[in-house]
Amino acid sequence: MGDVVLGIGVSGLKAAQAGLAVAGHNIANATTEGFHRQSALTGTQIPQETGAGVFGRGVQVETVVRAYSQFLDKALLTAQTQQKYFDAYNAQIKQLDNMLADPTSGLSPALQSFFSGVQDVATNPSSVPSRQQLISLGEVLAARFNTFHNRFEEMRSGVNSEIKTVVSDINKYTAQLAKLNEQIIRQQGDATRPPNDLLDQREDLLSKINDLVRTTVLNETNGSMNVFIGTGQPLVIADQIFAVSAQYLPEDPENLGIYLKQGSVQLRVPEQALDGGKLSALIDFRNTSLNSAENQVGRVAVVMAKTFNDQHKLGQDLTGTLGGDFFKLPSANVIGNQNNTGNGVMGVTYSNVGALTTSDYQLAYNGTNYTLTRLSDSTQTTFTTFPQTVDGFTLSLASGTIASGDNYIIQPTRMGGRDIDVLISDTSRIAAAAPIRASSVLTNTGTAVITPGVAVNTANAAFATSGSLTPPILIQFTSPTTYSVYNNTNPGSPVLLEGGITYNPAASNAVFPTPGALDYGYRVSLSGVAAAGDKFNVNINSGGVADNRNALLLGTLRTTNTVANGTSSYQSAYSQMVADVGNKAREIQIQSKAQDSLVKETLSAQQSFSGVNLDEEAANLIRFQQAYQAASKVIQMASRLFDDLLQAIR
Amino acid sequence: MIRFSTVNLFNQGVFNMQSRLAALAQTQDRIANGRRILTPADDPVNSARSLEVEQSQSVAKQFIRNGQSANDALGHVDIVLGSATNLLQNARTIVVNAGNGAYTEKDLRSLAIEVRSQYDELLGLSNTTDSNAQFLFSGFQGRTKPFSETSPGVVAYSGIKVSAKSRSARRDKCRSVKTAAPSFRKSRTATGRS
Repeated sequence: MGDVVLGIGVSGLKAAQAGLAVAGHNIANATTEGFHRQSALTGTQIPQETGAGVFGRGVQVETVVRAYSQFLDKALLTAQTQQKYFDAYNAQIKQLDNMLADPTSGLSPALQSFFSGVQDVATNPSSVPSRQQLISLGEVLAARFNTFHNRFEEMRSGVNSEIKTVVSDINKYTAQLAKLNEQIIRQQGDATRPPNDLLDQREDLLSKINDLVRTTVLNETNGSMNVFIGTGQPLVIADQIFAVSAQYLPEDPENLGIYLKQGSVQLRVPEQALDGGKLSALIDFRNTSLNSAENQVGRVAVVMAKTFNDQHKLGQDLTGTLGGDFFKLPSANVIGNQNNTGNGVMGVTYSNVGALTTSDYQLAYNGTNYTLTRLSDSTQTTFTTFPQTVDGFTLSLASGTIASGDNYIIQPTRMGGRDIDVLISDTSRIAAAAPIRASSVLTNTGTAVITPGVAVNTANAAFATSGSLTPPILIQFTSPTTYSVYNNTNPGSPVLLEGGITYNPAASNAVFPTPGALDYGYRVSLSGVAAAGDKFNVNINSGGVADNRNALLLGTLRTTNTVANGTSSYQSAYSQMVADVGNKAREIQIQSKAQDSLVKETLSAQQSFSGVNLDEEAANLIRFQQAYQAASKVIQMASRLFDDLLQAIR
Repeated sequence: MIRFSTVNLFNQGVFNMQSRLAALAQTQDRIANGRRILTPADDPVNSARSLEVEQSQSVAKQFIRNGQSANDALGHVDIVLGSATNLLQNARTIVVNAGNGAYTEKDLRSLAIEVRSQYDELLGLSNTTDSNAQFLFSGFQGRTKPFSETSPGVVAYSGIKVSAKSRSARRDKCRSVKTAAPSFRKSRTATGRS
């Protein structure tokens, strides 16, 4: 019987030692990332049957298990991958947000100063300093647009380099994970004795990969953990890894896409499938917030350059010639897919800048039809021939032919901020004056007056010859209520162009276009009581250096709704961008905070199950210490029994 | 019974302290900058609105400046016209005086010299320039001298007779004010004789 008691004592000793070792391990790893609390499971040994009954033969340590709940750990992974997504998005959009934060460095002060400069030229049209200031302020404004564009592009290259880092981190982690898979498969021979610490390490690696990109996991019975991303593209299968790489996209060589190497093939991972994690945040930020902000600023640049130029061309400068382009008009960006087989080169021109959207477009050709997709809302336009006008720009085939399957990305406003510039450097070239001048003749006896006139289309043949109007016009009243319009090229004998036009002395009478549809590209109107024989001349505005009519019209562009189909002014289109960025940044901040709380709660739940409580482990230490002492006592007792026996038979 | 993970207990404490500290830091930032909205994300709607208000403010300031320059320009015209009126009245007085039969030829001669000087002065006034060396009474053609003596006592007007609104300054969204006289109206023939 004595050897049995000794055996029981020794087994108790061993179990207590195991308990102490596990408690010690738990205490030591209390702060280890991904560690799950472990415990030694004990059970009774096979009992001894005797005539007197069945006697227990002590304890045995069956296995060491970890407190692992698949449900809790999975919930934590899901919450964390989303948290990292918001964190990374937040870090990116903060750059945009901060860039727009300082009201003195944004676009608005430059825009306001520029238009104040226009007004100053209107106040002193012949003043060279005023004109010089306007050119300088125009340059400041253009430079501000350029700075915005450069900043956006810096962010884009920042996103690209972060994507590269993330991708190399993923590959590093998957390599480690595959190695652990290999070890675990080897050790998992006996499923009742799991390699707890290796499993913890592997799950910690998985969580790190999940921080970068959301994964789906398939655990196999041999202990291998297979990891997939996107819509089921494998990262790790058992000990085999599939390298992820970031490569510039064939259709958009400025931006990186994610590719997965399978065999010798590089497979593109669809961006929409990567939800959650830092990688997806970077791509989403680039595709939505950054592109949209850049396009919105670009659109303001394009619309302002075009509308300002258009009005400027309706004026006349100090030298008496018609105004030219004030700003350099940015051009639309077209990128042909590198895999295109045709050699077609697309030409894109602005047909109506007011209708431009802030979206990018994709043009695809399937052999019969061209399909233009507006990428912001996937609206499609299908057509078969060029040129084609959509949303304010006109597509045409500049050269070559487009093959079936070719596609192009069209960015009508992306480069607006980069390309805008001031073309005028000579102060006299600012067209502050209107090119025409209407006047009454000194001998008029009526009190009718004529407006000085405004030009509406200087491309009209009337303005074809610089320095004169073709033809100069004479308006002569034949009675107080009728007048005729003459070609006054030879003032000695005016040639009748149209006669008998009725006149209403009680109202303003627009002269052009006349009832007979004469139109020379400008507008004048008559009002007041006229007398028969009264004459009015319309002529070129020679020497009109003190005229500010066109400068006044340029000044009104500041508050005219020219952007987005006449719904916003330059300033409000820019404010719209600021509001969009602000809203998105705020949304991400709020979601990020909510996700932080969710992670905190999930982590609490997971940790309360799997984490180490030092008090509990301290109690365990004492418990096992006492068990150890008790077991030694049993051994001591068995020894004493044997001694007593020897004593008795001496 | 709820187990607590010791490490998690500390982490949560740190998390809570950090979120309080972040809120404190933001408040201090606001105080330091004197602005409620530090970045557009703090209040997207109002930060965009404030940009538009800034534009309105800038436009309003510009209108005030325009109004002032219009006022200055018109003030100048007013003074010149006032002087011209005085000259004309002087000339009229002299002419009425000349009707006095008791005046000798020598007296009349001196009156004539006086009238001529008034005439020269009037001619000078009619060709007044503003601070930018632009003629006040020549309409759009600021550099064209509007009145010139073609032969002794004969003055020709070479400006263009323009109706309302020759040079104007934008006063507000729908009003503009004339800032220079459109040249003489109704002066049927701009000739005179001394």
